[in-house]
Amino acid sequence: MEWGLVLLLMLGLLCVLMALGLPVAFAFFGVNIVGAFIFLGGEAGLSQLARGAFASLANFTLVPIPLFLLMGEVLFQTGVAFRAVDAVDRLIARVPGRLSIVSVLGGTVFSSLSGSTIANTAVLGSLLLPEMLKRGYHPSLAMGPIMATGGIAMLIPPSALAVLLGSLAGISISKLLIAGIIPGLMMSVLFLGYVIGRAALNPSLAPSYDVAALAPWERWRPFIVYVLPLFGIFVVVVGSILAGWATPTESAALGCVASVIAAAAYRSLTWQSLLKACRETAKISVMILFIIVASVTFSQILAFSGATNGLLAVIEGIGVSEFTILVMMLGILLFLGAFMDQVSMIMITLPFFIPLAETVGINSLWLGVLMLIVMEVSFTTPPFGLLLYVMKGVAPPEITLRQIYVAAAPFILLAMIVLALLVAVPDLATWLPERIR
Amino acid sequence: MSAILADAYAKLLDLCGLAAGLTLAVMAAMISLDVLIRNLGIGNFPWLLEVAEYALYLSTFLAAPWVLRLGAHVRVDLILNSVPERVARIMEVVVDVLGAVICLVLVWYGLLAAIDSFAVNARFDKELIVSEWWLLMAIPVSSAMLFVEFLLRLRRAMGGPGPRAAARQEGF
Repeated sequence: MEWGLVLLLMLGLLCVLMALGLPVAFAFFGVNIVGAFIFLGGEAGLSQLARGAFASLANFTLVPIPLFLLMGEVLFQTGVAFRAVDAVDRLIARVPGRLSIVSVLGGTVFSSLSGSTIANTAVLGSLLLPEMLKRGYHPSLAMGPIMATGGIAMLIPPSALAVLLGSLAGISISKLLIAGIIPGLMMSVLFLGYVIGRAALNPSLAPSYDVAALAPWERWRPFIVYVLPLFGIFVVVVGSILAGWATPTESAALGCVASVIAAAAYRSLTWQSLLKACRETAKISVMILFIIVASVTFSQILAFSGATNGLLAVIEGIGVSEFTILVMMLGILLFLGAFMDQVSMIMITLPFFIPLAETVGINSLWLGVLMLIVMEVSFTTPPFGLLLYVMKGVAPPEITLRQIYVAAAPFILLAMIVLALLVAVPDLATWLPERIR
Repeated sequence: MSAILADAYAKLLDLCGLAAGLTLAVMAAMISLDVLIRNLGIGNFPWLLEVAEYALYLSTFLAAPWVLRLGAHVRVDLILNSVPERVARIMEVVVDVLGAVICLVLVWYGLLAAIDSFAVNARFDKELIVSEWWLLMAIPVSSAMLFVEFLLRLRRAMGGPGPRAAARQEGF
């Protein structure tokens, strides 16, 4: 079969099944069944499908994904994360846009402890949003920073998505994790500047209010007690990778144990909360890993049928520049991100992007970081950005989805600025990971 | 009788979910212990890497039906949410039928792969010696449970409450 037809059949069928509302993993399985039957030799191909499913998951490099999620869930379910954000809240004095600042700072702190954007947004949304709306904050300054900072969790390590991308794209997972730190912090600083600037220019968007006068010790005590020790967890996870002491899997496992120890030290650990954290982690990681099972075979079939090489040859033939190809890749990801989840985005595009990047000589680590940023952006791009719906879930019923879209828009623009900076200055992504011993 | 069966099946699914979660927790503890004793020079668990790989695979397959029961397998519900209720219901029926058929194919060919593997006595011979067929069996077992789950969803879609109840909330 002509490669163009193969591509049309495989991607077309996938899109139809996904658009119908079939869960993504099963849509991939459905296409694989058809693809394996046609291209892998009928029934023998279908048996091969089962073996491929086993091989795709029995992979040690995927283990950090559930473990990074578990870290965040333990801190979330035991209430430790809430107390940390609360402590940051006490620290900020009477300034314009105070609670928006708290959400960016608190969210960044929690990002360094959790690999889950959902947990991050849920913590910030349920803790700060009611207070913000009660204080008369405009929805754009109330919900925008929460969603935007929620997405940073997947840039700043621990990040489950960085592990997934690194593992499947053959990029060093350690380096990709470390490479997310600088862009993550850049976003955080930009978001902070934006909320302060807007609140200062137009105080009615975020009315200032009297904060109870606290003695310096009262103000700082919760931060010292509830936040500083948590940085120990970040040091364990990131430090052990940077120093070359532990693999990402080992650092993720140590991070989980450190989170449990922290929760126990704060006397917040109960069997009930631990079991809930385990269950929630299982739910999200099984969902993600099941898509991986289904879609690894998908990319193998694409490669085997000649579709991947056919498309690559055409792009090479056109002779476009490295920069144009990079911009095209990011554009495709941004488009897909408006309609589908991050795992599907990775799984559909990687079979083409990685060989293409190798052919034209794009640094894979740099590309990995840029892809992570685009995925961060696509968490909040309408109509399908996941965090928009998480926000809808935690916001009061009178908040419409449209208001949530509008709230996210300026932060999407700010994240795009960071993306452009990283495209222009690749060192911002690659300098820190090159320091790994 | 059918109520008792349904209840027992729901409990079984819950148990699979809990087992998957606990497996992850035990994995974290064991890997940390391995790092600790290795750095203390006491030794290490050479089989841990392999066990973790198998555990990740087994727990994913065995808990997948539980995740489907919770409605937590991510899906693109963009169109589903923008068409009239009646069309959405028809789409839901089509989705459940497709899901059931896909799972049935996976049961059959997963089983064939396991039987083939058993016949030639294929084994993984690394730190541990493990027969491939019993690892492969997780696929037909899981797919059979997923098949049942899709049938139950189909029954709900045809007579029960509409498909719009489940909000999309899962992801990273």
